[in-house]
Amino acid sequence: MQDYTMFTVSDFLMDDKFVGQHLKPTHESEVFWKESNLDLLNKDYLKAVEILNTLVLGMKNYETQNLSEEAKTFIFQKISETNKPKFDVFVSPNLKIWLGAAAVILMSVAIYLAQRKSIYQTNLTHITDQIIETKNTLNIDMLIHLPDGSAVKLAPKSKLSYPANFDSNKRVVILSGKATFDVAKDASRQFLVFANEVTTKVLGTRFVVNAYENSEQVEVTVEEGKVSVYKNKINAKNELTGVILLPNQQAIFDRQSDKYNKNIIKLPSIIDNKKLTKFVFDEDSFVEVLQMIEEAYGIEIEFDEVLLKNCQVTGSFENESLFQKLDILTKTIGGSYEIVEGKIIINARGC
Amino acid sequence: MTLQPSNDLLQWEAFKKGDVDAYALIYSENVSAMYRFGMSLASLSEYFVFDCIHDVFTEIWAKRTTISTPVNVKSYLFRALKNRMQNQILRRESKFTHLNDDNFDELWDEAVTQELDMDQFDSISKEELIHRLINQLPPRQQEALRLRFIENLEFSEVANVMSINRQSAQNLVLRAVEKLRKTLFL
Repeated sequence: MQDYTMFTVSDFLMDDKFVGQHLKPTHESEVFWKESNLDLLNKDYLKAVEILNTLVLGMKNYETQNLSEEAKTFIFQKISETNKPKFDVFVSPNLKIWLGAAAVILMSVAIYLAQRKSIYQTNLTHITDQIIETKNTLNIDMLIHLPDGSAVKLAPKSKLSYPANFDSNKRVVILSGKATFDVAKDASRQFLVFANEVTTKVLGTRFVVNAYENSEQVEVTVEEGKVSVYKNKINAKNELTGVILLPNQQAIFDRQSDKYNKNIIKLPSIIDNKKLTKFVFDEDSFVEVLQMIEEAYGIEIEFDEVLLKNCQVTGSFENESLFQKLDILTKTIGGSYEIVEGKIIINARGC
Repeated sequence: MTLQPSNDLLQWEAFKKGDVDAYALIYSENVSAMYRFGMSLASLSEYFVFDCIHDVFTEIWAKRTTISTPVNVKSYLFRALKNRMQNQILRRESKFTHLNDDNFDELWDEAVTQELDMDQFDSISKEELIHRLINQLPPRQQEALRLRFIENLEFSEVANVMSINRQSAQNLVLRAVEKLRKTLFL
């Protein structure tokens, strides 16, 4: 217990119990001061009370600056709204401005894209007759029979347009997306597939065109026969910039750089089973084995016949792919192979 | 003697458990004092203070399960409001270098008080005179006076709201009292 008899005016004003008693007396505080043995007529005590009252008086305008009931309710309503569980994402005012700007840009882009003729639309001008358009909105391939007896397997999210009747001198179809073509043989009428910037020209064969409008490349893969691939006449200065594809070959047209890349597909299939006559080799001629593979897969293999004429192969093939077979063969003679422009080139020093 | 009725703490505990009525009661019992305290700190605009009060209450609601029960609810809310206002003002004026509170006290012009025309003492009420004298005190002395003598916060709570120690809070009040006694011959 403090000895209040020795308290100065300032001591009283610095005492929480003294100030509390005079601002807001409670039963507890009344009892406390009664028991404090303080002479309530003490000069310093009375002075402290006077000063305290003066201070409170001087701050009356602060004390009475109350919030109106309307404002109290208004603020609490806002608080309650904010506290409601929300499922939407909080968006700051700054972000709102950016989102607004982004929306304007997106709209401009959308208008531009809508006005710009898609390459598919441009390609449609190649068809003079009534156009039949088929879209595959399913998630499985769709089979389409064309007027000339050719069959088209249209991949999901792809569309194909063709005339109700093909012209007498050519057969033109327009593709956006991916499709496998099994073209009916007709030596008098070329079969032309316009897909993005690329035209694929055939007489009769089976091939795949992969040309989705939003992909960066156009791929043409030959399964059977012979096709030529070149840039659309509309866009290209001359059609000689194209490539000729044989089975197991693939042309990849890069839309950005405007260039072709001729390649061998990842898993070449055997074109002519009859040519693959031997699986087990016992001191067989390396050159002869290579020639057999070349004919079976229909892929050109370049090698130095003179250099390799003494090389022999002993071993057997099972279910290896073309590239696995080539790996095994070249390793036995300490050589290697590479693929250049759709051809296989054997590098070896000879035996 | 405790300045804080144990009621406050029971309310706070209920609020922490998600009791909306307890939350509303904490709001209605403190909002008026928070408002006048906020206005005394920065009377920029009433709506600025409203916004900050809103932010304090929505934040404690969002964090209700993790915040601890304060020793004194009123001083806790005052401190939260002051922090919120200061952060908001700093964000708006971050380009400028701020004087700290001590700089400000030193810079406060002591002579201002002298300019008060003593002859006018008789023509204005005692209340008005004291009001003017208090208004001319350094802001932090005024703040300490308001918190101790109007808001009835103990010195330790005053210190807490003002982010200083108890002795410093008492010194602020003491300096103000001495000044008034000298001027008013109390």
